[in-house]
Amino acid sequence: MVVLDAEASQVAGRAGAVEGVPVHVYEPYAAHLPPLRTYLREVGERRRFAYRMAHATLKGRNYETVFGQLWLVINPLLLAAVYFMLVTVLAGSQHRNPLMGFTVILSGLFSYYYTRNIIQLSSTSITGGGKMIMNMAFPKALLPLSSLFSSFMMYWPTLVVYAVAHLAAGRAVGLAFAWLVPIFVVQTVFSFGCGLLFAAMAVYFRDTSSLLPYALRIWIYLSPVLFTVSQAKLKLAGNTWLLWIFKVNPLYPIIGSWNQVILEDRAPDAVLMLYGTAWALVSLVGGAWFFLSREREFAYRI
Amino acid sequence: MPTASELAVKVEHLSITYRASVEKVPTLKSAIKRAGRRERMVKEIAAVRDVSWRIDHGTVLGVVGANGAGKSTMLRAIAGILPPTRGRIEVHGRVSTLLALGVGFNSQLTGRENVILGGLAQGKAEAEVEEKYEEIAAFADIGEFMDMPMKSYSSGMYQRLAFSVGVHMDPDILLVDEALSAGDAAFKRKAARKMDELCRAARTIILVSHGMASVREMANHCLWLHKGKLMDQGEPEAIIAAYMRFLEVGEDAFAMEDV
Repeated sequence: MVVLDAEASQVAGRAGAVEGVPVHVYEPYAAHLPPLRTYLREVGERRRFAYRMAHATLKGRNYETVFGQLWLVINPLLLAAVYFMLVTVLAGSQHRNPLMGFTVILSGLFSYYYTRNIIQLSSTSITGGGKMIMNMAFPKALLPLSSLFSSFMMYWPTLVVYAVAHLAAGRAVGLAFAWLVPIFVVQTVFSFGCGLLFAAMAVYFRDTSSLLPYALRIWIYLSPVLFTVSQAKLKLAGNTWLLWIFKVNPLYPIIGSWNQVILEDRAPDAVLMLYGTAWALVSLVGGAWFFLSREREFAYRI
Repeated sequence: MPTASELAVKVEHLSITYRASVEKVPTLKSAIKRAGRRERMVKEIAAVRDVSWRIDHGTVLGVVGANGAGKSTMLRAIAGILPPTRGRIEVHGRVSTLLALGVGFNSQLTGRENVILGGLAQGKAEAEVEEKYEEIAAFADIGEFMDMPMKSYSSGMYQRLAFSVGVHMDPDILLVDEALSAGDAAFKRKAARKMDELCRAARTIILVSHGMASVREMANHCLWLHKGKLMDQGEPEAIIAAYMRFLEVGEDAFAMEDV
């Protein structure tokens, strides 16, 4: 009788409890995608896993000691110093106060590194998942999700450092800073979508994680990181081709609007916000589709 | 807890086909290098072909067959790791796996972290996992190694921990893949006792093994797979005898006899 009840209440892949006994039904995926609602629920239920995994990963890289934490801050600061030298010494600064120029680079660089870390950590999350991919039934999107958490844990200390530099440079802080929250969300969604894409891609092309740093390095020069959007528009005026590349870049609206708020203390251009949001949605839908439609192959290919 | 004579696992017309890469390490570089040469670097493999069976709770099912028979693939499908290509699998109860490849998300992390992460990934609550952890660590009995990175483990320690995790997750259905050889003689005895205990507690066990002795000893039902197809099922003694004869006589002769 119990069995009959269970059969009546089954939907593909759904676990229903009949007298405390969970029932699982496994059927072929429709359109190569797992049942989405079940999938999302399972990810939600296991979010503590992604969180603990992120912590453990950072700990494995010695980022949970005092000096490790310090390194997380010193490393991007040193990088910022390098870029600062490059921009001010080679190109000549437009700021009389060098700290003003430094904050321009810091804010863009830290923001860029958040996206970069998500993509880079995600790209090895599945190929590095090893035996568990083959031995355990769980939604694999949890692994890139834990990369996202790791990246956030690495990102927030740099934000604190930026805040100090921001105040030291005598820059303004106003109500417009509330815009940073939606911009952060847009950036996170966009980066996570990319993370899903590259995590799955690395299963098929194992050299993805070694090729990525080059692409990411080029990306930083195409993004409003070492200069602001208005500076770029000024310099690239007339060079339609380069300006087009610059504007197609998803980080153009995302970091551009971030910098508008932080450096100019004003609400971001509505066009930039909408454009950034559109990129985030495209990235999430595209990345999630690519990842989920290939998830069943991970176990065979790892 | 489910009792005997209730459906445990039902497999209907299960087929699993997958594409595996022929390359050892697939890279973008090699993909670009062979672009235009029309070489196929993926191979379609039909691991399981139209297999149907069912068992009730309390059954200890032995699965025998030569290498590449699809035993492990079928086990992974029952565990929910691989979705079927065709057909349907119905599993009543909590499943725990004891697969040949062991436990561990990340060999950089300690045994403790891996055990806890494993529990969380299976959707257990944090408190429940922490509680189980103590039992698991006590049973595995590898001392301070629990707090060392898993890359420092010997293969025996690896297996002891894997076995301990598998049997302590309160499974209604335990899937075992060639893992009975865990550890040294003392641990083997302990593992065997634990398996007996699980069998007596009306738990359901699916045992994939090349060791005919353990199948004969423990199983009360037996499946024989060959090249993805179900050859026969029934009493372990009879099935094993048929399988052994098949191995001795060879495939061709057997096929002739069938005709």
